[in-house]
Amino acid sequence: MPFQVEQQTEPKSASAVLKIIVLALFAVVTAIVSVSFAANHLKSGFEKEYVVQVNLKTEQLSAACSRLISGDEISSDPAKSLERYASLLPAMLIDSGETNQSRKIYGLYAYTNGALTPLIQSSSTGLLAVETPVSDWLTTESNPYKIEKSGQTTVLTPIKDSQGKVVGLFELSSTYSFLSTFGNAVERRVLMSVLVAVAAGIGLFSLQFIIPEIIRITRQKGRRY
Amino acid sequence: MKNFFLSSITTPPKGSRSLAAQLGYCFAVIIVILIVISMTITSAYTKVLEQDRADSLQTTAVISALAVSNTTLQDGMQFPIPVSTYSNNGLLTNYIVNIYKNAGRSFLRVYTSAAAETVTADQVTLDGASNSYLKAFDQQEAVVVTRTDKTGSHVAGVAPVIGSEGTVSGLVEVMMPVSDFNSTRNGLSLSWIFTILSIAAALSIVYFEIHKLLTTMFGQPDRQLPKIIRYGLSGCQSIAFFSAMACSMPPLVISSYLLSSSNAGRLPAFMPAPVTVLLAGLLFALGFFGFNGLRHFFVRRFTTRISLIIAIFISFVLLLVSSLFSNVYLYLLLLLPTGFSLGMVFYFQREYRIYASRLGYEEFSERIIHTTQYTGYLLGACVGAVLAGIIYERFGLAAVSLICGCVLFIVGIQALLFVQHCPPSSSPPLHLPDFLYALLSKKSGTFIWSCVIATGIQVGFYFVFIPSFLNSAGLSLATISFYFILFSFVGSVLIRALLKLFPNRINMRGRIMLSSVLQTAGLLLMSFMPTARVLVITVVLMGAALGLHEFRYLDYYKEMIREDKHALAREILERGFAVGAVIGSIGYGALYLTDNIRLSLLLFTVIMTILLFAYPLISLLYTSSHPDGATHGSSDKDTQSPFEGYQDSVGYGSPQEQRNAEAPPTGHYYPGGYSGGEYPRETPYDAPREDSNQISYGQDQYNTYGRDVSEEGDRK
Repeated sequence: MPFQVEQQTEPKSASAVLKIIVLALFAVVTAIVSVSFAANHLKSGFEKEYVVQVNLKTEQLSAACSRLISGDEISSDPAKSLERYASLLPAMLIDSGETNQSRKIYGLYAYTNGALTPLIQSSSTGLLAVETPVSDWLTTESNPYKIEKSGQTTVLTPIKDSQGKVVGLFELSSTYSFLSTFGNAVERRVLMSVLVAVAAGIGLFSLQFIIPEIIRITRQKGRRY
Repeated sequence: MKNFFLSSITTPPKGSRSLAAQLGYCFAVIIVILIVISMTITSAYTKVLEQDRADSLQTTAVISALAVSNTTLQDGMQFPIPVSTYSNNGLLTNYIVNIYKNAGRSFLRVYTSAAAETVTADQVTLDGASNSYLKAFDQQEAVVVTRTDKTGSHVAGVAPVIGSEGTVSGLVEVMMPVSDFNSTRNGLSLSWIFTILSIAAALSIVYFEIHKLLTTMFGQPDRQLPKIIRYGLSGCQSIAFFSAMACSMPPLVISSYLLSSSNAGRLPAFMPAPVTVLLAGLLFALGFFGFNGLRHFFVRRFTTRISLIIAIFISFVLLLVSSLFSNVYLYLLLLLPTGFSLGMVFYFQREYRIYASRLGYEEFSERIIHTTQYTGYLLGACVGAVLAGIIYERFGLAAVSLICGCVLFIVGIQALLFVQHCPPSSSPPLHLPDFLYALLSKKSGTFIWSCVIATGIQVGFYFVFIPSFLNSAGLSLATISFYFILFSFVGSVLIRALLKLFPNRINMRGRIMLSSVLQTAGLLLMSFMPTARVLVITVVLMGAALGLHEFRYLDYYKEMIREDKHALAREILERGFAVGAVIGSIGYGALYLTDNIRLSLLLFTVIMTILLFAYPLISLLYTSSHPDGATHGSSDKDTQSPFEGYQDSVGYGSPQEQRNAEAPPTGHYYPGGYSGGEYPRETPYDAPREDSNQISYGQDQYNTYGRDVSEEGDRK
């Protein structure tokens, strides 16, 4: 085949060096890009899965808690209900210690004359019920109202009395701001490991070219003496 | 053995052995790295997910225990609140809630939310419980434990129940199977393994191509040959590879970009995402495959190489502008000119193919060049798909445009270096009435519809349907490369090897029939079960179907039409393919306009089946109505059409029929004469190349016979 150019002559040493540099650079860059993609793809997939899981958990816990809160108590005697739920809610919504990194914050509000009055608030920051317009959560169906912010999911559940009138609001938020920090740390660590692995890989691979050269030089020197 | 070992240590690998080692190493290292990091990240995130699941179990158990506190724990009791649910691979599943009454140092179950068929009427004691249950009871604390009984292993949140006397009366256990507790939708799934494989394969391919490009660049060209083919088929294949790599990236990200824009609320309300994707696909296809007259004008006005460089520069600017401003309207507006500019890169290669094949070198026959370019296109598309997926997902549209532009510049440099002389072809213009006339011809027209237009339509399958489908299935865009690699392997390796192993077993009509059957089967399967796994089978069938033609349609078509129309044959088939691609982009894009993909795909399959089987059926009808081998050209009606010819009875690749074809049937018009002495031949494609070259490319037969005159002086 006279047309296969690559078979004609061996490339000269300068071009061979250039070729090796280009190919090695290409190998490193593509390895990093592909690993960066893989890490990012997995990270975003897991983050989405985690957020879905936390959202569902928050909705379920909020629904269960709101069933245990009596609307009649809140409307008839807010002071007594404050005392009762101040001990009950912390017992129900415990954070399961150091292992779990997401945190739960909650608030219980009395709703009278179109305004919310805070009864219990587990945190001074992060609760959104007061600043959320009433029309957003107070609908005819009285369904739970979900607010998703970056690193936080909040569910506002209206509390009804025995007459079916909305007399209070229960707010439950799950915060997971650790997630992006955790993901970035994992990605950075993985990338660093890959950089080291690729560099070591290229080094190891080039041994098959370096060792014969060393052996050849050693033999030549041996013959000379 | 010792000598072999020593020699392998003392001699560095050289030539193809060295390249094979590099490629193998590259492939293996990328796979290992990707699998290891996938496992590392999966285990890290699974732990986080498990922590949150444990928190859910514990909190739900506490709330459940509070709900039943101050009640008497007894058989037949009801659970006062609805049983909570958890997400299991996207499906909502109920927790299993059990309530136990204390009975000495054991617990008796008084309530379970488990399905009725799994619950026995007998009294059940807590089985397989660890000391943690007793600890939860004694110390009144909530715990998360793993418990195994005869129904399997479960992870349970356990909380004590406070009775009416203020003491602990029992336990509430909220549990889920261990498999659900440890499961995750992401991680090392089958689709992700496919993606990893395709990334490793694609990066090895691009490594190989860069190696080949550098070797070709630094190698010495054969100066005895005409300028255009001095760098051999390697140069030609390299250009094809990099151009396909660049040109496949922008269309593949269209659907992802528009769907993400729709999710971000950047699309107007009157324009739903599927309509926008359809419009975008149509605009790009129209630009990429259309406006041949304009391309011809540019090539004649500026020469092929300069018009290529201009097109590359314009594409780069357009891609960059459309991605930097991140405006959907601007993006849509620029798709047509971007498609046109990218199409110029392929038009350049068409001109190269025509010109190089006219030089008369056996190694540079049109079919060999076309097959070489096709291999380059397939490999380039596989790599382009991976890069588009990786870069778009990780770095966004602007990075895709930038990389695409850089690869286009490599194509430009290659074109200037490897193709130092390429005058434009002088094909006669194909006017619309002529094209319509060709489409309306009974047999040759049906052939165009069934084979050429249908093949063009399938381009839409790969560039419109699959990206949107993967997006709707929640898979990475990079996974598309796996399907491309599969298609390339089946069509270009497997089928080609089979056809070489069993030559002349199947004639052209048989191939067309088989291709129709395979395409229809693939589409039918997909319409019944539109999943990513079935798509693998569909792609295999499509690959086999579209690999059967071996670029013989042009020769076959020429045999069907009158010889004075041979000059138009190429243009007709090219335009047919372009029309098919535009129809395909509309058809496959329209599938997503309805929510029911099954129904719309089934309807589309029915239409495609009619289209695909039209020619084989007409062919069969014709053969059966002329049992003596007389051709349709003998009927008065058919001879009215200039696109109907005389070679109907020639069996392509069938030795028996070719042996019999010693003389043409009587009563036909043979403007080019009949070289009866050349029959029988092995296949009809073995006819002297000069004949086809002389007439079919629309060249002036007196100065372009066999070789280009301008090259003669150069060679001397």
